[in-house]
Amino acid sequence: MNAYAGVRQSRIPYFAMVYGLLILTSLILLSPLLFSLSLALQGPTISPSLLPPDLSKLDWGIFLSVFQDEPLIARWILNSFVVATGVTLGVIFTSSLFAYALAYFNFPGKTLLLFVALGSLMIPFEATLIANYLLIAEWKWMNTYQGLILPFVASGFGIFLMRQYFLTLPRELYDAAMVDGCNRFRYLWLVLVPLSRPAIATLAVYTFLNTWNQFYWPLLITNTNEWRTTQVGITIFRSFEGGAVFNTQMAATLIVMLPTLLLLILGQRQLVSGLTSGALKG
Amino acid sequence: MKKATVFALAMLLVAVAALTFVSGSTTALAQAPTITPVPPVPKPEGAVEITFWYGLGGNLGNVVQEVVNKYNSSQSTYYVNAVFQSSYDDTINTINAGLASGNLPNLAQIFEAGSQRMIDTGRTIPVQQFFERDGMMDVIDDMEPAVRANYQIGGTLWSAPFNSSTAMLYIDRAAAAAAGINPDEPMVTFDQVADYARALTVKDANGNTTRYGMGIYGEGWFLEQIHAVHDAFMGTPNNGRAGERMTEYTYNDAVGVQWVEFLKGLVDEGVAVYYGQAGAGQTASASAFANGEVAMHWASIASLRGLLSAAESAGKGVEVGVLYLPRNEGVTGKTIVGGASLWITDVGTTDQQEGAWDFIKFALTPEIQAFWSVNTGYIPVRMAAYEQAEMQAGLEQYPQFQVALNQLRLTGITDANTAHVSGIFVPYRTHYVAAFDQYFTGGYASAQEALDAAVATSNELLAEYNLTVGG
Repeated sequence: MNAYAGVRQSRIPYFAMVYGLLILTSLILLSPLLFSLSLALQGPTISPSLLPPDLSKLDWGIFLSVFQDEPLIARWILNSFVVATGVTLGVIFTSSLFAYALAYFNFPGKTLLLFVALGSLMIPFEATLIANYLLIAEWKWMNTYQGLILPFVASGFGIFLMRQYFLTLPRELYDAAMVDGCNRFRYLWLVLVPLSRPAIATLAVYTFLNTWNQFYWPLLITNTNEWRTTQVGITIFRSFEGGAVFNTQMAATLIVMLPTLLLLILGQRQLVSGLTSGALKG
Repeated sequence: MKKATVFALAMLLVAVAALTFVSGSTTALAQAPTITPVPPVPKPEGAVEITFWYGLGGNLGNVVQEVVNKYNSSQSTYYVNAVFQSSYDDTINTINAGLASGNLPNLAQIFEAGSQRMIDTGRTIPVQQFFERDGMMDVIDDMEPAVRANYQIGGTLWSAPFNSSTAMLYIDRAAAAAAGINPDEPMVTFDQVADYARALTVKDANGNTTRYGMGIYGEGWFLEQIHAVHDAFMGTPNNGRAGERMTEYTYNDAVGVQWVEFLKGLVDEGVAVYYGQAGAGQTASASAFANGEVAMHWASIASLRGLLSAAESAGKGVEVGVLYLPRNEGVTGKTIVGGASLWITDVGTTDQQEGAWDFIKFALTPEIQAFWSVNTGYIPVRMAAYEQAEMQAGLEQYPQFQVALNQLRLTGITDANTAHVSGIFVPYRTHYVAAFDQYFTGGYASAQEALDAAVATSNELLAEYNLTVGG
């Protein structure tokens, strides 16, 4: 009993150090967010301090005034949410199909197709921007969800990630399923996809965040205030000449970051396991 | 995992729903922007819709929307649909992308850096045609000369001036008075300003500097201003203004070198502090000025209100005053204006083009100009605006504004003291600011070397641009 207590005691400094370090690292990692919050609460000033100078006068109403200044922000969040969800579902669907073919079947041109998919990673989006824009404009899809979603529903990264993950799953599973009379599509949707949850979750979070943070495409393809997405919309809070006032900008930024933060926090475990499994076995 | 996903989705939906709910509430708040944003007025039945792209956010953007609202409720033939395009840069980028498909607005607010590019699109109609057709040349004659000259390229008024400002050297009047400097004499030479910087620098008992004489940041606009003050060209021929396209930048001339060396000398002497490149550097310098950490600061006259209110809320007793930009002994040149103008495009129907023109006529009335100037701090386009009671009250409240106007009217207009026009205006500034920054952080041995490098890159880009537009 005594010895046990002794062990526990001797471990207290160790735990204190570990937790101290963890708290310190979290504070460093969170500092941009905390600083944004600090700026948001300091009221309109062009010379903010690191921490609010007067803690009794925190301006929490700033978050409300963002919505009053720009009632459309709720619509922008909805737009971003629909678009990011649409793109995410699309990418998961197309990547799974393409990766399935690459991982399980032999057909002429397979290697070429893989390299085409990988090659698409090397073409920056800006290079195809005008072509995409002209196509969407020609189809009269400006200011529509489909115009915002369609150009992004296939992703070379997604295909590669899913293919690598599929290859780690035992081939015997496929053979057994075939022997049992499962057809190829059922195998994909009933066996492969459920088994690939970590990879799919990684792809989903990655795609969702990327789409949520898009700026230039939504700026080009929408030209009415209602159809803007969050990242384009919130630039209206940025002040010009002389009035570099940060509080509303920061409050608006925090509001549009909230959904992605939630997603990241809730999807973190999947994300980490998905990334490591791809890294080790891929 | 499944539970977590469902939970995540549910949380997001709740968040969105909560936000939507909050947006409906109407709690009054103790915020005091000069103009609170007004939702656009509804479009009347049968009105011709004019799409108007603008690039001013924040409070200035609210004033733009307010002017549009005033126009829309003043008549019912046309309806201006104002769409914010994120920034000046993004406005012109979106126009560039839309050229091939013809997705252009009927009316666009473009910064002067984009003037040459707008002309080169071939999709604009010079506003001068409308002024001439409607016998309204008296309105052009009534414009602030420096402002008018800025948008008159090759003798034609291409776009309607909208928001204009000019550069000033801000000075803390309280600190100046304590140091025996007369801040009411705005005309200053380089030597004087260097002396001011020395006199305004304060050290504590340990020899640490508690206040520097001047805050400095890299910004191309001031290089252009100093050239204008000394009646020197930024590029040949004739700043690109005399009907011939600019083919070469020449800002590595004596004026440019002297300017950069002047600033660097103050930093080396320990009486000025360098805050970095435009943007972050400007914000840092402005903040330091408002807090009394530097006694002089370079900024646009449109920054006046921001600096006044910042100085007041900082509570360090800074009194905001302005001086002309410094110059060599005996030089009395004027500064240039910067800002943006309204361009009419040839897309859409004649009705829409007429509507765009109708809105410009409205925006240029003395009443709207006075309203615009008083609420934004920009210089009114029309001289007649000064007869408005609102404007006179504004001038009385902000005597610094009159100093800016005087500086802008010091001499007559020449091509050299009007902003240059070039297709690579924005990249030129980027390269100049980068070279400036490298010089201040030890990357170049001399100002001449830094400017030579920046000019070389600028000229390569300019040649390339001119080639692509067939100039």
